[in-house]
Amino acid sequence: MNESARHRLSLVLLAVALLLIVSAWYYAFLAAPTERTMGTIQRIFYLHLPAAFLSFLAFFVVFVGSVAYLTTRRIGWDWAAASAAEVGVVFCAAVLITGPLWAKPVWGIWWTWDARLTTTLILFLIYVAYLMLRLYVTDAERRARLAAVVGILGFVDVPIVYMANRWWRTQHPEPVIAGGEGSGLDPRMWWGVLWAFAGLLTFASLLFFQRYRMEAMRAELTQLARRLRR
Amino acid sequence: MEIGLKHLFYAFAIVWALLLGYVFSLARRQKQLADELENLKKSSARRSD
Repeated sequence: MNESARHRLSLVLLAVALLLIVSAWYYAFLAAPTERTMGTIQRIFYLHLPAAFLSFLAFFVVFVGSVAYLTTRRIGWDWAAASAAEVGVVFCAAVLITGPLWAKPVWGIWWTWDARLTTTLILFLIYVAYLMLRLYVTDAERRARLAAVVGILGFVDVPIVYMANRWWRTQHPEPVIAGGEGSGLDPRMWWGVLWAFAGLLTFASLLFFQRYRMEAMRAELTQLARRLRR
Repeated sequence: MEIGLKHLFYAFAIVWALLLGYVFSLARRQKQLADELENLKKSSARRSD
């Protein structure tokens, strides 16, 4: 893809993301009803939940990219894994920021070491470690191999985070989506979640493509520098 | 301001500041790489002349 086509695609993605995010805000702040027990603060849900699902999705891409790199040894898979890891860490940070801001008025505490919260923090730290590992290993092939191993092992925590409030009694509420009997959402709340997820997903895709491009540029730079040194 | 509303505002403001910060960091790093690439291409062209 040439430079101008890439630029056009980025602009289109940005416009679509903004449109979807504005629609999500409409549903989150105006159309969706106020939750009965928590009140206004529950509207953090429209940011907290899509950010959590996006971080899971990003870490799944890291997992797929890592497996694909180890089987094919094509460096593009490593670039995809690295890009997804960085985007995933940003969204996981968003979850860890919105969670305590939601918890304080509802539970009276910012944080507790319950299974859902602790495994989410561990998930964040695993992928921060993944990115740090990439910074410290200079040889591209060794970096890709080691990062792929961490990318595969680290993903084990994603299903644990997802299942934590199903397996253990936690301070974190029971799941409202795909939960047991009595769980579920008002249809207007569903729309808020769906628009927010679609908007953030489009925005995250844009970030992913830009980050991937950076990896490609870095590889070109290394290659050119090596050629000049000869 | 109602406490819930205050926390809701902080949550949205902080997360969007985080996302914008990340966008700026990506743009800055990309620009840095593009400049380095440009410089190397120039030196490579000078060498081959």
